[in-house]
Amino acid sequence: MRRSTLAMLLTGLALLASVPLALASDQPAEFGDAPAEEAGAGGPALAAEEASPHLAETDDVDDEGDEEAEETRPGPRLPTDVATRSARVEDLPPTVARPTRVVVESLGIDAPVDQVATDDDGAMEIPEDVARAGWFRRGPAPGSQEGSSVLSAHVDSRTQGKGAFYPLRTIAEGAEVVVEAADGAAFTFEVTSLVRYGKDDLPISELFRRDGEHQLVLITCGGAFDPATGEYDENVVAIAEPVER
Amino acid sequence: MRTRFTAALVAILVLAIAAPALADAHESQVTVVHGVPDLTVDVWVNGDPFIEGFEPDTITDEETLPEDTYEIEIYAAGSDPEEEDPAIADSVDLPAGVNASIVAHLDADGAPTLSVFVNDTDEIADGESRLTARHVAAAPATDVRANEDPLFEGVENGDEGTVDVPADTYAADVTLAGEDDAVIGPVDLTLEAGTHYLAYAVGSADDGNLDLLVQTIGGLAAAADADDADDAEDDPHSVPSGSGGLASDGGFAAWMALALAGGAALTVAGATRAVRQRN
Repeated sequence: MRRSTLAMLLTGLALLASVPLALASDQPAEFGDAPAEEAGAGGPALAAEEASPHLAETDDVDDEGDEEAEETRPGPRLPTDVATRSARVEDLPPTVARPTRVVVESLGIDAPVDQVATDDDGAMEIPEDVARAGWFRRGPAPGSQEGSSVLSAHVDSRTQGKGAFYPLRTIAEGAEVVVEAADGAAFTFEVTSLVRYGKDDLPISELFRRDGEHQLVLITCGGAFDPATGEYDENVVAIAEPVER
Repeated sequence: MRTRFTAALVAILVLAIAAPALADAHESQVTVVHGVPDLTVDVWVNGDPFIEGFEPDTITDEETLPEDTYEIEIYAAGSDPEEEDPAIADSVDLPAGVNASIVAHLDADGAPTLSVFVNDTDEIADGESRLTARHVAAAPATDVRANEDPLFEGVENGDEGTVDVPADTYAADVTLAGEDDAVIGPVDLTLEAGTHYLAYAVGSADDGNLDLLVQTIGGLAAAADADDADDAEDDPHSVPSGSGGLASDGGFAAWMALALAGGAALTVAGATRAVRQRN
């Protein structure tokens, strides 16, 4: 048998064999879960990129300084007994640092988190690197007192393979989601629902609300994939509530 | 008679038109900052009590005051202005239409004084915060650093610097100019987008009570990010988060179909060739 013929045969058989193998590992919902493989295949870099923003230097600016007035006039009526409050750093209203990492141990999800907003078309930005998740920074940060915090990551990409939220569609009710913040704080959430919405039916105003009970929303793509458009027809949305620690 | 009447009418008309316009343009927002350590005071403005029992390390809310020159006298709390001398007495010019901070603080030599700073309230770009550092402490020139990177260098008493930075958490500290050891901080400051943070270095290096006070001015985000604007316009209309088809539940993904078809074709062709070669 010639070498080229052998190669052709082997390639053909390998391609054929790849399909059942992929089916077995890609559909944990039906074939039982395979968390170890998921974690390896998803390959989220553990070393979260937390480089602190580099700040530009600026020149000092002189203040106006006070000037001597030549005369004093009885001015208009001024407020009296003005209220005061502490300006000490520790008394600033509580703020929550941006999220830097999201972990769902039960699914092997462990992804660094970037800050995202919307792209030119008004769609939510998702980090190009499918191993990274994006936090919608115009809404509340995870761990805030109120409002809905949204993290999204790719389920997969044509060129990069499986994304950070690839296993999201199999998340169980009660699963624990931990979000780490830039200041070292960690917030724990518990999944309360997993819902699929048609791409056009995503309840934006509920998922992106700025007030009301605090919740964490994890979004990725799902449903049927249309190879012609390169898009899925649904969003997979997991909602989690804060766990008091 | 007629001339006088006309003149009066003109005067009335001018006043009627000008007065409302002047009222707004000539008012300013004023925050008073108390950065003199260990001295609770009463602040008198133009001879009237303005703030009573004003404690160190506190500030007022923004008050609206007309443009003017104000006589400010600061007494130890509870003093009788008729009988005692003020700890600080100064007149300050408040320009029109600005957001200003009047700061009671120590000068470089440790004497109490007053300074007026105008605060930048220009819009802040989406996702950014504004940070201003003001040296109002009895201390030599200092460097202000964020995450150990110098932000402002060689800032002297009475000087300030302002910069817009990505909204984030920064470890802020103050060192003597050119040195590495922090004399204030480091403190973690989480800066929210659209807010201007004004940090005051106060106290005295000699007395070992240097400290940081922070004033905030919110709501400066450019329209796309303002909390009080219509949030719906800032929200995404969709979340496109997959392009591979690996997770598809609509039957076989495209690549699987290709692999099956290609694999079958190659296998058949290869087998045929093998059989032919053997014959």
